[in-house]
Amino acid sequence: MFARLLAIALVLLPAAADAAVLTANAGLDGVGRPGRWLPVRVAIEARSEDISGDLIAEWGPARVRRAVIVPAPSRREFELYLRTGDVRDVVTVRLEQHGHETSRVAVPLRIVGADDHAVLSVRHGPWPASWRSYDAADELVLDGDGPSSPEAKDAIALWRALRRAGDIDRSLPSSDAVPAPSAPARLVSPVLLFYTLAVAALMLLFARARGRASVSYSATIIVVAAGSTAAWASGRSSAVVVRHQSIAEQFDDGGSRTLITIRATAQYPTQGRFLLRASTEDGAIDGANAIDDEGRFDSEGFPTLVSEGGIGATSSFTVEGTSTFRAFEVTHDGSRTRIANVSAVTLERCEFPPGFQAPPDTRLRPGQAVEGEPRAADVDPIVTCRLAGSPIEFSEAHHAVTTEGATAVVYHLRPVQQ
Amino acid sequence: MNTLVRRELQLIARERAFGIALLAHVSIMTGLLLAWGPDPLRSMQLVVLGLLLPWTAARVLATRPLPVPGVRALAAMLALALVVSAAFPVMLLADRMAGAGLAHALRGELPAQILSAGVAVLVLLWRRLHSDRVIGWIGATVTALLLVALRIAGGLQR
Repeated sequence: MFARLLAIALVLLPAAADAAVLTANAGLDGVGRPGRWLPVRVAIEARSEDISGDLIAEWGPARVRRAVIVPAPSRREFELYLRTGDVRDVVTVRLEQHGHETSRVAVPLRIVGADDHAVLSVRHGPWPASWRSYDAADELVLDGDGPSSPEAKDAIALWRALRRAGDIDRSLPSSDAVPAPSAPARLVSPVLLFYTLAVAALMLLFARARGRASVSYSATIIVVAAGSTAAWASGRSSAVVVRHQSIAEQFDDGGSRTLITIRATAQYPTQGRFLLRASTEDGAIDGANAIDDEGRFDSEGFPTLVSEGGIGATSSFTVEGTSTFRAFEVTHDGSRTRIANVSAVTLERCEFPPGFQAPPDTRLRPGQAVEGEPRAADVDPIVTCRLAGSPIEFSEAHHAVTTEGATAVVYHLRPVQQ
Repeated sequence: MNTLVRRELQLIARERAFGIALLAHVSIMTGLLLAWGPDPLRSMQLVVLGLLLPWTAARVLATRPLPVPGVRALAAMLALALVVSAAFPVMLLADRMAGAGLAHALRGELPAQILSAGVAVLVLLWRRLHSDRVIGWIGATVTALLLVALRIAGGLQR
């Protein structure tokens, strides 16, 4: 099926045609759907020259950009994901090198309506390793025995679990607000305070050093120079602060991956351009006030947020992705269900569905478990606890990153049949 | 000439008003930055200097006649330039908060330094026009504020 759907276009520029061949196909079973992730698989073949540039995929207003490096002679494959409500029946894939477009491919799509029931076929490999590849489908028809790799099995398991839990209508805990960023003036106030005190001390010197003007003027010049140096250096070695509220969702029979959703702000300690990276290969950052609207990925496939601003400037963003982080291990024994904390930290403010005896202090310590018999009341029964910290780490090219905030860890239990 | 300028600078340094001007300029700019943020700070600084520098010059410049013309003006320019420069660290931080760097802060310093040189000349000119120190100070202040208003209006038009 993939082969049938493979839409191959030749490179546009004759000069680049000798050096690089770009091929692409898009969509599971060639299908795109409004509001659902669309996988775009791109292969770049570097024939005679190394390729270093940006791979850009566009679907209507949605655009992603990934840094690519392909040494010659070799062929590399990349997987990009796009999502938009304003869909088109074609996806454009471009390769840019040194700021110039060197190749372009247009990939046709079949559009399925958001309310239609989409039964999509996956006939043969390579099997996608991200649940987002299957997002357009309501039902899957797998070829043969299905995938053999653990990653692809996990991806399908997570997709199935999401559909079972109700997809976007699934149960989620009420979310706390993202911690407010510091006022930018607060970041510079220590330097300002010390400098003002130094100038006040100078005033005393002027009063006492009458007749020794050279001392007074020299001292002033030294204090101004020192103050300028401190003002120039302020914040340059400080950390970027990411403040977040995260949700980490595990699913019964949902594979080994945890679905992560993060609402966050990043506050920068100095002026300049910042490249914040989230440590999830299967995810995306959506920046509310980033430099542009495109989703960006580095050459290793990690989502990045590019921002620039002054001391104390803040960017808002969301992260959607998956992680190997797990807080719960749930086992079923007949009608009884056992929920254990398998993380290294105490889970706080835990809430359980009817049928479970919650701990009196609502805490679940590492290794502690709760047992119960869930009742057939909820469509999507969930266990919810909270922990300090983020399920995904962030890094920045030139600065350390500290995180502040909490994560709601959620386990979607299999609904009990009536 | 050099000795005379040094002598004048020494006299200025002896005046308490000079130290007060330094501290006032830094304190006011710090307060404005913390209260309003970095955006309107350059224009506010010119208004502050338009008020502060004529007062400083009127208070610190001696009145006795000098044998070489221009010595007092030169000393006044140097002293007032130092008052303006005292707030440079504050202005640099403001520019960095607005996303600009050292070069932008240095460029932004130029209008303030030109104003300080102008005020030094204005105060001495007003002194020649009127022997009363207070009237000279008020006249220099009004003229300086007019120059500042023209500068800000020109900046707004651009």
